Amino acid sequence: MNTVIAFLKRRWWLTQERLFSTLILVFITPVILYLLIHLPLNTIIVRSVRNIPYGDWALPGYLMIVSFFGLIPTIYRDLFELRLHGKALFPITLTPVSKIEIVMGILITAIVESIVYLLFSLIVFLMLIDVSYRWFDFLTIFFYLIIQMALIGNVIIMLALLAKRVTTFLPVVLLILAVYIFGSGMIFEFEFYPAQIGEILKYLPTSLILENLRTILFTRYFIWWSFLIPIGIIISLVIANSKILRYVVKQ
Amino acid sequence: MEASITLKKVGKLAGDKTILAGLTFGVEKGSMVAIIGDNDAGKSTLLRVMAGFENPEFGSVFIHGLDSIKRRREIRSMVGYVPLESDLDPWLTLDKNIRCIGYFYGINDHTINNRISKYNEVLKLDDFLNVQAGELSPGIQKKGMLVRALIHDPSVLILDEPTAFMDATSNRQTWDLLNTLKQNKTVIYVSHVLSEVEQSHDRILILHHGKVILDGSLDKLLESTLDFNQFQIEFEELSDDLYNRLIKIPGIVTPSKLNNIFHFYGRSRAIFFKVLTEAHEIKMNDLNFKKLGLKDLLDSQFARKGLDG
Repeated sequence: MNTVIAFLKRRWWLTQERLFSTLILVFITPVILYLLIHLPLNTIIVRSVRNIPYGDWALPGYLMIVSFFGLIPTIYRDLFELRLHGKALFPITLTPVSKIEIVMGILITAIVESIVYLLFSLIVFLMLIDVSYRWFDFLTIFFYLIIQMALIGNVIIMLALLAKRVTTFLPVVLLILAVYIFGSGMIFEFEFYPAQIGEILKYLPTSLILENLRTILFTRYFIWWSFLIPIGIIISLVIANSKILRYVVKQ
Repeated sequence: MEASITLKKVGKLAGDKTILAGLTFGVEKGSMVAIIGDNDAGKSTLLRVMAGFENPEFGSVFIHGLDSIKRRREIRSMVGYVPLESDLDPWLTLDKNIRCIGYFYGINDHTINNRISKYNEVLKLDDFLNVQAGELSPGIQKKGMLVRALIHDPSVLILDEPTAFMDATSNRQTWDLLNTLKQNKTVIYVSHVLSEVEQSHDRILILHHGKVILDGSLDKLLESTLDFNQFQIEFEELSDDLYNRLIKIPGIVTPSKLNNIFHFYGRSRAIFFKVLTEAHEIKMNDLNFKKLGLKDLLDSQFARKGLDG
């Protein structure tokens, strides 16, 4: 717990240093997603295959896209930049904190920061898009957002630990983002893809989480297996990342 | 004396190259140990291994009797480490850099404040604590790193070039603090500033190609290996005949000739007078004599081969 509090305090201090630019980005990101994705797609799609209004269907996906951007700064800074350049990660590794606690601490900090951004983004989205969710639905959405962030955050952590150059890190992050947006059913349904490709994409862990959320929101039905598989993957990734951290810091 | 740190056959490799070659030694509790040696001798690696910053490829490091790998978590609280270059978070203030590490050790704000003020009294960091670390000079950053390493009150302090990048005032403040800390902490440091090492040590380890080649206090080292004086006489003309006569004088060690300058070592000053007597008929332009110190010990090959060797 000390570790998480220390990471959170540290992150808050850092965010205070650039509060203005952060707030601008937090408000601009949902506006851009609305203008460049929602407006054109909503004129084409209008309702999903399950006859759900496109705004209702797409909002969880939009929030998941915003959460991706919220995760990057903390993870990039702590595990890539300050590992390779500033070396400021190393004093933390010398404290009596295990590597798994460091990975969890950074992940939780990134998720908390992202949740704050998501709350602001949600307000902006609700001003722009008509949705028919009840308050309990928003709680469910945020619960699944946390799971999705834990999964994708771990993937970015692994990349940040393994990459040695920013010219490797950045293109791979963009590639992950492309798969995340277009391959996880965030803005298009899998029925839009050729059958075999759609069938494969459906089983991506990120797709399972989003599909599970939509099933709850729109049918009130909970599918255990598609919930437990991503959870298992998240736990495995946390353990793997702690081993990778131990390896890269040679401790 | 109780051992604070014990190394048993500690080895470290970098590819095919041996960085630390099976080091075995102990460091007494409450002592100040200086590690010196050439560049690439393995000094910083040795510090990193002792601090738990890196694991040895073979052998074991024990801190207060605890294996540094098997009991890593407990060891972390006993050791404070200051690396050579700044590893402060450049976007956090110096105060927050120190405070943050304190939180990772589970220390409360009250204790952190007390410790920062205590060390601040000696190191005079008042004007810099609320400045972003990235904007501070490297010398101030180094002082901040020292406070950060002390924030959890470790019993062993490991420092890589403790006064690197510092001006004279900061240098003095840092040594004042370290000499005070020595009373109840074990301090191990690497330095290239030999005058500092001569002033502040209980013991000196000289490292060469990953091995400890000399170990002891300065007096002991100089006595056992270098109880020599260095002499230099500049003649008006130093002929080969005279040079050959001079080098045959018993007690003259490693003589050399550069133009008209005769350079040699000897254990006693009497040898110098023997040379003067032998060369009395030749006009001398200059005489030079000095007792050898740590710098000479490192500069020369004595440490490796022995003066007589």
